[in-house]
Amino acid sequence: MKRLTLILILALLWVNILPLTVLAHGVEFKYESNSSYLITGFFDDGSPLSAAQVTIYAPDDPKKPWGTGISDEQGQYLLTPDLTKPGIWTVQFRKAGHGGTINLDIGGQMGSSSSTAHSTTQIVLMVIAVLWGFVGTALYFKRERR
Amino acid sequence: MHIPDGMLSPTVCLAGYGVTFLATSFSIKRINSTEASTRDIPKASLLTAAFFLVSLISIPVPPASIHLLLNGLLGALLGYFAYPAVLVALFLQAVMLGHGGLTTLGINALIMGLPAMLSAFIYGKCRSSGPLLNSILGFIIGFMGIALSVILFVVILMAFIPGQINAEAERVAIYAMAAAHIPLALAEGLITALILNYIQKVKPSLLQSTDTY
Repeated sequence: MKRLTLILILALLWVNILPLTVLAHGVEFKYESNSSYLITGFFDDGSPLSAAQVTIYAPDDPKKPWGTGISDEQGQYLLTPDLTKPGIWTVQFRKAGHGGTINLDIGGQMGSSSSTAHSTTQIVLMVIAVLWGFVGTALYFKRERR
Repeated sequence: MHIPDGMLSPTVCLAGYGVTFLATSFSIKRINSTEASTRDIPKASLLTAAFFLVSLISIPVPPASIHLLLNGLLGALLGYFAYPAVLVALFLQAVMLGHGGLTTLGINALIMGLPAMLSAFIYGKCRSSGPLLNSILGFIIGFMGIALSVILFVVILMAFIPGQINAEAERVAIYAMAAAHIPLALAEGLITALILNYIQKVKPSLLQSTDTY
């Protein structure tokens, strides 16, 4: 009887240990959501703002940079923000005094992609409007003198 | 050459507005004290339009992309109207197209307007009716307009590089940007010489406002 009990105990121990040994050869996964934002800086003429210094400000401290980096040859920088800090994140690109700043509403109602650039049609229309303003001013003062 | 918003501290931007206020007030006072106050407004308006337009034409000079300024020519043709013309054009560029910025408007006007004022002064003092001397003077003014603007741009940026960025990398980028403007300065010198010489031949009255100096 004692022998049978001992065999049973050993058998139970083996059953418990076996799965651990088998699982050591498996692959496990765990995941967490960690959204990234690919930001592309480019000049008005379409050329990329490459090798620009990128400074990132988190919503909780708009004075002290949360992180810094460099844009690649395509003017791109991949931002992986801390999602525990929802709000307006500010990202500044700078190269030789040129560059710009973009505000990202992370955790808010921001679309999946967006652009701050004007379309060619918008630019042409604005330029025509401004030029017409100057020409009109010139004509007005020229007429007044006669 | 247009410094956008966020690149300079509020103190520097305020100082830029201060200088621009003084330069504009001085220009307007001198304009009002001359007979040219309304006579030259059509010319000033059309040349402001030209200045607004040429700044939008990009010229690729690897690794940078630069654009024409023609502030030397503007100064020679407009005299005291030059600084206000630059200011108005830069304001519209900032508001409509996002070139430069509203906080840096004073600094940008200073960078491009002061060389225009100096060009106006030099051209008013040294203008010659001889084509060769007029051409040489035109070249000097055109070249100087860009060269001085670049010097002011470099000095202001180098003096106020923010602490959070890599200062050495920024300095190298600024030098590269300045070097890219050397061919532009030569080109603007030639363009200014040609235009001033042409105007001197066909309609010298257009150059009259610079006689007020």
